[in-house]
Amino acid sequence: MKLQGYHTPKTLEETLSILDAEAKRGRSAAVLAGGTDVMVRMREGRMRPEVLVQIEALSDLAAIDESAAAIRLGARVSFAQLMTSKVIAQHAEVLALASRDVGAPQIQSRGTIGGQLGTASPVGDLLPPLVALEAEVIARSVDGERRVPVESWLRGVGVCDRRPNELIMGVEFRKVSAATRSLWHKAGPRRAQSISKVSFAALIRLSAERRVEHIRLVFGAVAVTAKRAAKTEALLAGQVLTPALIQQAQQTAMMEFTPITDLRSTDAYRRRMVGVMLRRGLVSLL
Amino acid sequence: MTTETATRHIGKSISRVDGLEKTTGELKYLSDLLLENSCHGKVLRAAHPHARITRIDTAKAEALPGVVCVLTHRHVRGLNRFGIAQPDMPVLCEDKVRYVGDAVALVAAETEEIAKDALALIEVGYDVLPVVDDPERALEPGAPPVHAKGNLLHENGVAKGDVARGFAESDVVIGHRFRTQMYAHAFLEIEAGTAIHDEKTGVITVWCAGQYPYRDQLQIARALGWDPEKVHVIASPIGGAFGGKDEITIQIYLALLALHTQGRPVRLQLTREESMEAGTKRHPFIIDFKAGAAKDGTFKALEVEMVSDAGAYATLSGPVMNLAIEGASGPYLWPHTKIHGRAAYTNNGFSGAFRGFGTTQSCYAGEQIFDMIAGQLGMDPIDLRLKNALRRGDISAMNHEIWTSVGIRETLLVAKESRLWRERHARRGEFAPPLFYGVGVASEFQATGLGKGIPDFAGSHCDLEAGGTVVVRVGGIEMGTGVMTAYCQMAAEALGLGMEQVRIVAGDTEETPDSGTTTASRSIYMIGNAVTRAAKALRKVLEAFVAEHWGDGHTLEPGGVFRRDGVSLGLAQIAQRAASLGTRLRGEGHFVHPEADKDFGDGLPHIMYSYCTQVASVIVDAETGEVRVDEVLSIPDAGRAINPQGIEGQSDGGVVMGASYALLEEVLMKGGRFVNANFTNYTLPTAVDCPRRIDTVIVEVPEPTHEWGAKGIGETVTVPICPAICNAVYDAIGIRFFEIPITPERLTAALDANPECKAMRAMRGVGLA
Repeated sequence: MKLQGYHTPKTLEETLSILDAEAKRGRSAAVLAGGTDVMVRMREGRMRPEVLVQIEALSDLAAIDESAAAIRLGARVSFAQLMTSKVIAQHAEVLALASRDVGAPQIQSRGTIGGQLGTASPVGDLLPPLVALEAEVIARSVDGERRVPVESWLRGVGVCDRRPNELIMGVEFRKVSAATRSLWHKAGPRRAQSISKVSFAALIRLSAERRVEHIRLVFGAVAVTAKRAAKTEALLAGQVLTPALIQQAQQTAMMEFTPITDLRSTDAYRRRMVGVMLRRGLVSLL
Repeated sequence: MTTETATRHIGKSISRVDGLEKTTGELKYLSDLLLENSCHGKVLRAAHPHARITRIDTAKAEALPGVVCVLTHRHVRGLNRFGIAQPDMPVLCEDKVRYVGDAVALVAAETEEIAKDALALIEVGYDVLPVVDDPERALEPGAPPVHAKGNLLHENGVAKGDVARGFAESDVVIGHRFRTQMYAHAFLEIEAGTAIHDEKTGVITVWCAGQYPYRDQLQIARALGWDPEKVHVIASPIGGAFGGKDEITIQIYLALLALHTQGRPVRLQLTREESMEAGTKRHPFIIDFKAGAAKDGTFKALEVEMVSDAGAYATLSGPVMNLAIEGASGPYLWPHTKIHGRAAYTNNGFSGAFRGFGTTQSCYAGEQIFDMIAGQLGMDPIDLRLKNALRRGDISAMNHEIWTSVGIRETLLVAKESRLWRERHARRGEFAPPLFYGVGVASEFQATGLGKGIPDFAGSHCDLEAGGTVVVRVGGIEMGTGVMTAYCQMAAEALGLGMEQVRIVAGDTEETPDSGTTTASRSIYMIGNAVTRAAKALRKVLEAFVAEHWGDGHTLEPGGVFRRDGVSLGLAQIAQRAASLGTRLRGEGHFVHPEADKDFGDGLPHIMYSYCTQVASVIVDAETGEVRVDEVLSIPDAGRAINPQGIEGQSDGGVVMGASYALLEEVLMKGGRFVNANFTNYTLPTAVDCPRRIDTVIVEVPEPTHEWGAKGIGETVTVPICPAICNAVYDAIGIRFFEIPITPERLTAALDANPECKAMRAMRGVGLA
């Protein structure tokens, strides 16, 4: 099908009624919250929406809101905003670290968190940090608003939990405590502007005796969605971090994933990098 | 030779004459041209890598509103073939497609979108044929033929002495099989252009980047069945080519479309994906390389057998294999050699000219084998190379006398004395596992010019024009190498003028003389000689004209002022007088390349070579498999540097390109189809992927047959860096790679497979493996 419509709603209500009307007509609608994925995919014929909904006018969705305990990011918050926001630097540094490794400045300026959640790519670099933050996706339609944990929002390669008439409003997550360390590492085919072969986001809080009090280990590009290394987390939780334990965690993490071989990397390399990234990340905490 | 005299421009680092307008974006490339009332063209490519065409029906496409014309092979009135060395490539396929980039039909429409829609309406029936995707299997008996004549496109070989005896006399013999990948030129400027048919004059004008406008003119005219005089080609400036715009790209499509758009201009621009799939590539090679040496390092025997994957059409696959054969010996003296190569037709895209031109592949193999010999003999790799380095007057591995300048020894001596080389062992200690430091060296000699038996000439005109500007006309093109600046320097030097008094007009079949192709590192040498001769001739013309009109006794002073008895006469005044008389003040310069005394066919051998040694240091991360090129020292022998800054620029770019060949880029194909034909997945290096530091030291061993002693270095600076990096990786971790690129995946797999290599032993020592 060819593109049949291009909407530029001015308000949230208008956007939701357009999405609802298009869903009822059975037309596939793609929301443009930057367009860095949609435009590329349409050009390549990998995505053929019948209508585009440009939400550039919804300025509320570009806000980073801070409350006492939580942070809410609008769907239109860009990588560039995440890189420069003081609130993010202080309370969710892992998002800033990941944003720095995405694309070039042009992509960082246009690409958004809503786009990452809507595209639901296995290599979306903000997704492992969002899973680590245990963020909730906020989706709204004319029927109302619902909240879905990012982990269950991401359903598969390019598949997310968005209903046809829904707009991704943004995400919300608890602030990360000052004692918690943020880790981020990405391996790509080159050192900048690359698509991840493997990515790694972690939040770890250690006690003064290096006992693991809180741990979230999330890997990207080694499964159909960003995925927690649950067994490794369980192995480390409550334990005192030692070189021997780190070596054990490295082996456990490598066995937790069954990555694929594709044009960017091999299963063996990806598995190796899961272990290497984890080891290096944990060693940096000692 | 004027090396000893003081010069005003030659040898000076001068900013490029086109630098500012390129930096500001003011310069318009031919792909930027959009004439009013243009139609837009599109090309229908083959749906299969190998298939017989049973039917082509364009009726539905023609009926689409907004479509101006739909063309097939039936519209090609001349020879429906093109190709530099042998015309075997259909302009528009009539009965068979041989790769996925083959063109089957053309469309011109009111908009690009309509043209694209029209492509989808063209019905082509295919009988799919078995895909030939392996060059060795392609040459086996019974392989499905890509062309009726079979799959052996080219075969050639050279020999000297008796290799069996040479190996018997060797104390060390090392041989191995090497493989190289398909590689993309990835020039910034995608193939694009405009053509218009002037129905009054009958002339078709084609604005399209191409490395040899006069040959493009002939190939277009041959396909149209026209007199070349009626085809006007404008081919310069070019936004990057690297050999990828030597063959015809879209010029014939443009001309054909222009004949069917009722005099309206037609513009055609490929997409990046189309450019990657349809355009020239660098040949993948399989190389069996064996060499023997005596205990003291003296090279004894060399035996090399190569197969290249030419893809679907010939273009320059024969000459590329010939240069691989010529370059296999390296810049060394060999008593006994046997070097043989074949190029095979397959359905894997098509390969042809690419900076380095075959020597890239054989040098990559040879320079690693030579390093292995040095290792086995316990010799310093540079000493081994110095021991065998060619000298002027030596008899080559192909048994011909090299009587031109040879600067390899000088480049090696600079490498040996360099900080990078002297401190190579000391720096190792700065790195702890998982990081490993290593340094490697490699040398190359690159045949320049077109070679024996291939007409290799260059012409230039130097005219004094209105206002007193000297206009230098060359048929060569500017594709980013900086040659136009060098031509300006040479002309200004010969005439005693300032750089600002000279202007270049280039690459236009109506405006400029034929200077041959801008390839084979030949421009500075061939066209530079023609330009200098033209400028010297103009000087004589000016002196005679002044004597005739203003009397004898004038002297020409710097800046182009004739003076006698305190009275001065400027170039503007002279130009004005000439114009009033209808006299053209022109100097013409021509140069024909010297040739070797032997002839092994298809341009083999050459007689002129540029030489280069490169040293690279790497830091290998044995956990992640990443190789970081730390420092590179690039030492080209430029004969004589016309513009050192220009050479440094070429060297920087060459090093980055060659390092990427070693570590990063690869065109992936599966069953004749491209897998990563875009810049998302065909990964080019960014600034942070480049070596941390590149230094260029220019060696000058003047070439007597050049007016200023210069030779081209555009290719040689991109070749030895790849084996230098491979040797550095070996130095770092103790593993050889016989396949490139050395990706992290390959490197870590090799570490796992070689638990006893020095890196793995060190890793175990610290509990990392």
